[in-house]
Amino acid sequence: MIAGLGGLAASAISFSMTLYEAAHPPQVPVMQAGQQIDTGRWFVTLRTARTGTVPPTGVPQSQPVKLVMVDMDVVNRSATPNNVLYRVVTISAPAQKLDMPTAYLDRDKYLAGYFNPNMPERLTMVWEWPADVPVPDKITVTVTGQIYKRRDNLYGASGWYDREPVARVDLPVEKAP
Amino acid sequence: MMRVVRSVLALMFAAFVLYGMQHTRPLYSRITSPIAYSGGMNKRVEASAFALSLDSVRVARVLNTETFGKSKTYTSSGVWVVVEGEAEAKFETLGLTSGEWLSGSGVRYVLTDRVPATIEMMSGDVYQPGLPRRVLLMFEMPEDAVAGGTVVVARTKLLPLDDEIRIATNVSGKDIEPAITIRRNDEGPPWTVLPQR
Repeated sequence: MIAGLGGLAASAISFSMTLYEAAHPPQVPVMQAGQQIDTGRWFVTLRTARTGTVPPTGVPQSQPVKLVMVDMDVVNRSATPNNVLYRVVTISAPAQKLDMPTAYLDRDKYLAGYFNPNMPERLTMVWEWPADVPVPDKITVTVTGQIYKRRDNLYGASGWYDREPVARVDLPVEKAP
Repeated sequence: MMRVVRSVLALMFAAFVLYGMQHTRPLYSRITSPIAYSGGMNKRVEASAFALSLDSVRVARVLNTETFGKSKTYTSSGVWVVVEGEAEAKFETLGLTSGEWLSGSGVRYVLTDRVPATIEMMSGDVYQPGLPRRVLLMFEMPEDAVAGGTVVVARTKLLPLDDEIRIATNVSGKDIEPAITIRRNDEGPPWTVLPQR
């Protein structure tokens, strides 16, 4: 009986918290291009954005698609290599869900793999943009924070967990052929 | 009344014990960590499923690759570390897909995924029991991670409680060559590290 009431109370609290959060979205700090953003696991510095059909490899695709490319500098501050940047840096298209972006390492002009700890790298993240939606003059890039838990709530295992966005950056979109 | 007090006390005691255990017991990652077999350079280190020895560690600022007439230069914001040795499976054919450089301060660097697959790195090969095979491992890391580093090799990163060989390298991190070239050979050993020394 008490356990049932407790469960009911818990779900009521969690439901009202969700409602409250939906009604009062947290204020995300607006940052500028070129400013270093601390996400917890990464330092991210967004540089420029552009649109075109040629990916950073310089080799045009056989079936060109509209691409939105964002240049940035990153440093992995954790103790292990990682490449899951697509959850950290996101953009959104109006009324569409974008596919997962591809990251290119500027050093190699090729697909980026792991980013080693404490090694600053410049990279370009590339999103395929829907063909029927025009690319706006300005895109908003959202940078999500991550926290390290020494023991997670399920296994007691250590790991990095996604948190709220830590910054929003407006970048003008250059038009490239 | 006494019964309520007693059960409250028992609950508090249980919570206290659990809290204490949560904060004193080893981490989950520690409990499920691989079983390490350690050794030094130029020695054959045996794990239960495979054996490994390392004989050369070289550090360079730039890595060049030459494969099938194509050459490419790989720069880095740190240095390249090229490790060579020999690996052998003991009882069954296996792959050694996980190679890591554990720096003195505990930071991990994995085998680079930048160089082309035509250069045979340890992770791409298959090891047959009784047939020792030369291995090549390439890492990219900041300069200060080189000194006192340990090479950690395992069959895979995903199997808890599997074997892992840890070989402490004796590099000082001071002897940095300007450039190293890895050439893929058409015959003989699968690769050559240049300049030879």
